[in-house]
Amino acid sequence: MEGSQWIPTVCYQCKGECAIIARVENGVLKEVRGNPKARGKACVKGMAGVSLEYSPDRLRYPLKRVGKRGEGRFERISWDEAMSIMEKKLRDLRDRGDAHKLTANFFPHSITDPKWRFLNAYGGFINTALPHCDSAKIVGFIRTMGGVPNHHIPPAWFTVPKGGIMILSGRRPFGGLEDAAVPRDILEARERGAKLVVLDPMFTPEAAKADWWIPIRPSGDTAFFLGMIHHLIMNDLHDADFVKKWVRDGDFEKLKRYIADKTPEKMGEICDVPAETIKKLAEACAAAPSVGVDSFKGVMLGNAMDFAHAWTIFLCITGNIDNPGGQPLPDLIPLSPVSPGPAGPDLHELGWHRTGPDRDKFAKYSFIMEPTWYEAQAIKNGGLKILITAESNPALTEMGQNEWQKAVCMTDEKGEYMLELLVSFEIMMSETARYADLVLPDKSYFERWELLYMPWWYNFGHGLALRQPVVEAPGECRHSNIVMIELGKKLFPEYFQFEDDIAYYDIQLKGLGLSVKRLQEIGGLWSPGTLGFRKYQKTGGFGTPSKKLHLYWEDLEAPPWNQALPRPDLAQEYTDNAKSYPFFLVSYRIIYHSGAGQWTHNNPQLRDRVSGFYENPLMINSRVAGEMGLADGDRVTIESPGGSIQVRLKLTEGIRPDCLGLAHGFGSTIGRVATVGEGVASNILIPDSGSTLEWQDVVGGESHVSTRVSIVK
Amino acid sequence: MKQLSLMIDLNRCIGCSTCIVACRNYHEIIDHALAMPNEIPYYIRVESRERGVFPNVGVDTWVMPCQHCPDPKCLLSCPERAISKDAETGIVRIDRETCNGCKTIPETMAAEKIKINPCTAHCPAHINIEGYIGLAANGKYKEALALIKAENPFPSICGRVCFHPCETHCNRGEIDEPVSIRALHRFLADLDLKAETRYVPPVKDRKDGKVAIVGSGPAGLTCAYYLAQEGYQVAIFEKAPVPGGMLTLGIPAYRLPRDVIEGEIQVIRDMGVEMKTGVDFGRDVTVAELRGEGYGAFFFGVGSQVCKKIGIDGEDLTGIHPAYDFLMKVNIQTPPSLGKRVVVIGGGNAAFDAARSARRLGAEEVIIAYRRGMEEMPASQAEIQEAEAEGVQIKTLIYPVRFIGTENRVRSVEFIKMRLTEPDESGRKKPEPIPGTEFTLDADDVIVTIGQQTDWSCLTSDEGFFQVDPVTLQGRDPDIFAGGDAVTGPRTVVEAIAAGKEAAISIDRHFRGVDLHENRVKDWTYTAKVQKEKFDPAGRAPMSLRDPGEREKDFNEVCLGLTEETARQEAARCQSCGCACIQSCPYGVIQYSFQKKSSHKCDLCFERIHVGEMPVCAEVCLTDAITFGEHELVRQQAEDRGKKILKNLSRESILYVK
Ligand SMILES: Cc1cc2nc3c(=O)[nH]c(=O)nc-3n(C[C@H](O)[C@H](O)[C@H](O)COP(=O)(O)OP(=O)(O)OC[C@H]3O[C@@H](n4cnc5c(N)ncnc54)[C@H](O)[C@@H]3O)c2cc1C
Ligand code: SF4
Repeated sequence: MEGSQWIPTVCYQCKGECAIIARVENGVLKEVRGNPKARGKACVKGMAGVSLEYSPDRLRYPLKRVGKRGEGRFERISWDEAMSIMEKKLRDLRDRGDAHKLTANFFPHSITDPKWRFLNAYGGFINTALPHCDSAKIVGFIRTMGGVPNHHIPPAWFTVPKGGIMILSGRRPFGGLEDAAVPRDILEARERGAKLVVLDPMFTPEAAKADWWIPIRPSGDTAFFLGMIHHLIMNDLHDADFVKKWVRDGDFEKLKRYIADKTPEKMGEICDVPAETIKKLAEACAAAPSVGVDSFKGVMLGNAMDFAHAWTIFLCITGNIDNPGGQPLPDLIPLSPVSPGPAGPDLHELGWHRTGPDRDKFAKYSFIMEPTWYEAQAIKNGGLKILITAESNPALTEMGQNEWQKAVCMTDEKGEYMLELLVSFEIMMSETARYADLVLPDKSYFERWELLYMPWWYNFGHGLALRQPVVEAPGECRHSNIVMIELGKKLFPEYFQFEDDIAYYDIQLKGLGLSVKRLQEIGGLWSPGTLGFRKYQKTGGFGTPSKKLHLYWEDLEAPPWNQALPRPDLAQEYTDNAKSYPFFLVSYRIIYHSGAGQWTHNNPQLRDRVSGFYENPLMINSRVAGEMGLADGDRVTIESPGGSIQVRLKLTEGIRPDCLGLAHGFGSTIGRVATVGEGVASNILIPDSGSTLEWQDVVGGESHVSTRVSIVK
Repeated sequence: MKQLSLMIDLNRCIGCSTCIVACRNYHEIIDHALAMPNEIPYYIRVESRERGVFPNVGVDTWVMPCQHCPDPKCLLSCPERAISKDAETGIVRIDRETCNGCKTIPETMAAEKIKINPCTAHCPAHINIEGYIGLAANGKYKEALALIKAENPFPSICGRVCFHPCETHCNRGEIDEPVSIRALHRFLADLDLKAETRYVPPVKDRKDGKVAIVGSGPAGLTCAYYLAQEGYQVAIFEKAPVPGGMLTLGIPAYRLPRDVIEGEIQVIRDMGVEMKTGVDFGRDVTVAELRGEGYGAFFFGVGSQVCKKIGIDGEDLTGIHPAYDFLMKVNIQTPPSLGKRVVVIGGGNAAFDAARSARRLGAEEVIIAYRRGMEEMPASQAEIQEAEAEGVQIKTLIYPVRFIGTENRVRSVEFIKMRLTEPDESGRKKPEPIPGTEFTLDADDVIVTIGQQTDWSCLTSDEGFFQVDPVTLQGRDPDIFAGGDAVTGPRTVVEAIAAGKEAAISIDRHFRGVDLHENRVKDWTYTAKVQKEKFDPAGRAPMSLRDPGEREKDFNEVCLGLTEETARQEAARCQSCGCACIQSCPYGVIQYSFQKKSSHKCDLCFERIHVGEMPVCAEVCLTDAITFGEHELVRQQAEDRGKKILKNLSRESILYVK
């Protein structure tokens, strides 16, 4: 086509960040595809990026709040004014010795992100901005294997051999977030002769393609895996050679003693799966050439650290680590340092979970980022004074969202807001932006530079990807990274001695013999080579202190933790209040929407009934509905200990009778497209984290994000 | 011609809609800045089905693009001839220069153009009415008739006796009067009455299945017509000496001339259907015997022909005639000789047929006695007017109490006066007798039209009422199907036709071993609204009738039909609520563009494939579930890979495999 060009860049409709190519015709973005030089696919959200780019709701100018927080009244201001407001407030806080009371809420998608540098230089915190964060998985993997597989490093499905087993535990990888090529890779592995097993209380799109669907009780997956581990060890079906060679001395024996009474029968009762099923899958795994397990926080998020632990133990005793079809480990290619580098806040001194009301209890908390749910608590406790959000929407997509909204509006005795400054970088108005003091028009991912370096990326084959502008930004939009670099230059010029983001990236790329320009010339992607297997053999071990695999977490031996080995019981959020709230709420993600709210919810193509997901009805088992005298389309109220919402019912055979399913992320109140339909926000049902501290994951990871509910007609 | 095709693998399709959005972007059928959910055109959509009961559940998902049918109905329906099937690739394309969006008027009701028209929605046979009227308005009569015959094999018959629910719902009625749809129907069909030039639909290659059809009413004949077209061997077994069911036995010739019926039935004979009249099924031959002879499916369209009794004294007197017996004698046997004064009991169609036939047989005074008021009378307004013009008297709000006779012959009828109750919850007024208001009317003959029921003695194994699945019309035995009046009780010709057509679809699937239920129920509720701005009022073309004084003397046809000129005038009155092609497409894949004022749809990315690229959907498919290529090669590939071709999702060029 005349004046038409395909430009390689990186999608950012969800945190999967697939490598894409974008077609631009005379300066106008027309189409998107997966980049054939990467894994080659982009999903429906990626395709609908064109509608995002040209949304009439795009913010164009900096705005300053004129009414009260949450009223949504703003006036247009200049960038200069916005910069000086931020600079003044930031200096103030630091001068008071309270630098750690700054938190930035954004998705830390690359360690090259200059916002991260800014926070380290300032001494502030970063917060995950991902409601269903898989931090427990990361912490679990670091503890056991010394590696960091996050949601970007599922089993490399394209390496699963014939006969291999693929287990999805409470995971919907067809919905994106890892990479858009994952569905194809899984289905192709199946065609090669691998088997797909899905553990989920709902019949997911993955279950529809699976060889085996096991409708497990929410939070039952730790018990399920412990039952398998019992069966494997007691019947000598584990990989004894691997264990002997690579598991830390003594750990296996401790595990064996611990597991002796975790029989499939007992575990089956907890997770509501027949013992036979647990045994059958364990035996199949023992016989298979590989087993890969993909999960996020496990089935329905409860006691996620225990699950991460059981999961890693299962991989260790079956030898499925860094082998084809098993769990890959990252292969780090170091970037060059940008000197001098800021040290960052002292997390040991301040506490990882630093401002909590129960600091002692959270002493073992070990995820480097603060959980998002914590914001409301921190504001109330005076521990959070400046909050900068970028491309995140905690006012809508966070559990206990109402509490967040209340907290940011709280005032002290002088009538001043407890949270002194709230800044929102966004491309369109959001619930969070509505509360902000400054709303800053960000550039979309089609308009900005970013060096993406996540060395464990499924997408890029362990390397780098360049996001580059393909079209001009509207109005006065500025990329948040540029803004933070500017602020950095003002506040601590020693750490920001480079001209701009491109210069910053160039320094980091130097060691690899690359630059942004060079990266651009070679197609925007770079990787050191192919995926390596069993790298621990060459390097002589794992990233743990002993270089061996740690099945036993001795620092968690003592009470109140008692967590040196995984605890099989259902999470407390699923057992408390069971009588008055007979159902488990299953909050799940769909391919059409990523958690961040506006981006996908305000996109007409992703809300259209034909090409997207319009509303989120409450999924209920048909038989149960029949017994309760409820019909398809009935309007009901769902109640939880935390709140209630009205929603329409959808009857299905594809859900456990004791569960109700609600797609996550709906309920927007802003945006011409986002507000249409009857979508509801499931987060309203999640009890506020401050009131359920005893339920929280006290050693790492995001808090619990589910609950029990009841239906009222 | 080589047909280019898509193969869609249900093992892989996860229903993610990536193709839908990529397709929209490529074809630029979305305005990103203005688009609102549920109003964006699309060339592909996702369909799915859930089966089983928890925990044994299954869900299939697949995408539905244009099927690029071998015989595209859209192409047949386009009045402007804007749709063509590319000779080289088999791709069905809409030429957007020629397409005028079926007379779109700028700025009016764009959203309506994509909907189904009320006429088509309410026609039980779902004829593409706008399509044939559009063709007729352009003088394309043959094409118009072929379009009708795609849904209804009996246009001449329906053009005369159909109760035309389409007209009742015609949007034009809100401006002045509904379009004379039935008269146009008849006009087109009558052009085709000459035996030598009559349109006989092409018959596909002969298939193995043998089908026995019991009853040659419209239901049975229609079932035979569509199955014969598919290439099955069909034999019809009819009890009466002549085929046609109620068309021949019940409806009088002055409304429906015999040569018209004969002409349309002859088409079915010409298609190779064997017609065995004078065979009383159940007595002369049974299901068991025919199963033994290799018949693989049976369709029972035996009608509802047993007259109900009224249940009052004197019903067995001579001179009292059940309506159906009376009409059958008039129609195919020797008409009974009637006295001077004939009383007809009932207010429906049959009552009027009986009354008007009685006048033609020489009765001097004919009185219709009906228990409710004039307004409640089920017979049509035209029917009542025509009857009154022929001297039939109508007495309402009376009901017979007993028949009084001497020497075993009826002499008079005792009636009681009735009144209507206040409307009940359902809004219906019930008639109730007013005590003490009895009176008598003299009568030499009485014709009773109270109601009919089905005689199931044709099926030896079943007693009494026979039940079938309401959608597939399949009975308890999987090879037995039934439909028409037999199942519904006395209804209408077009409903019997619709039932025959559905049964044919089921029987074909039954032979092919495909799920009978799959994709059967189409939503007809999404109908276009009236576009008042579009037209100046102009009344409908009047139908010319023979003079009453003359017509009451014989059984020759009363209505004379439209002339070519009045027909074209009438056709021009159609507002074209929707687009003709959209009405016709069985897969609902055609879209209407408000900006371009034309219809548009998937063309398999014609421009791309001509430079050697894949269609966008195949290129972007997240799981590579879509394969593009020459139909035969793709089919071969599916077979080589051990995939099952799913014929129930589409029987056309797009291959669905699992
Ligand atoms: C007087 C009258 C006027 C009507 N006028 C109209 C009208 O104007 N417009 C309209 O739409 N509808 C009209 N109807 C209704 C319409 O004719 C019927 O709804 C329609 O014919 C039903 O079609 P069918 O195929 O189901 O059954 P039928 O037409 O009743 O055909 C059934 C056939 O099965 C045969 N049969 C029965 N038992 C056996 C057996 N054991 N073996 C072999 N064959 C058997 C019968 O002989 C008959 O030929 C009228 C009906 C009557 C009675
Ligand atoms: S538009 Fe409909 S009728 Fe026409 S070819 Fe496509 S599927 Fe067939």
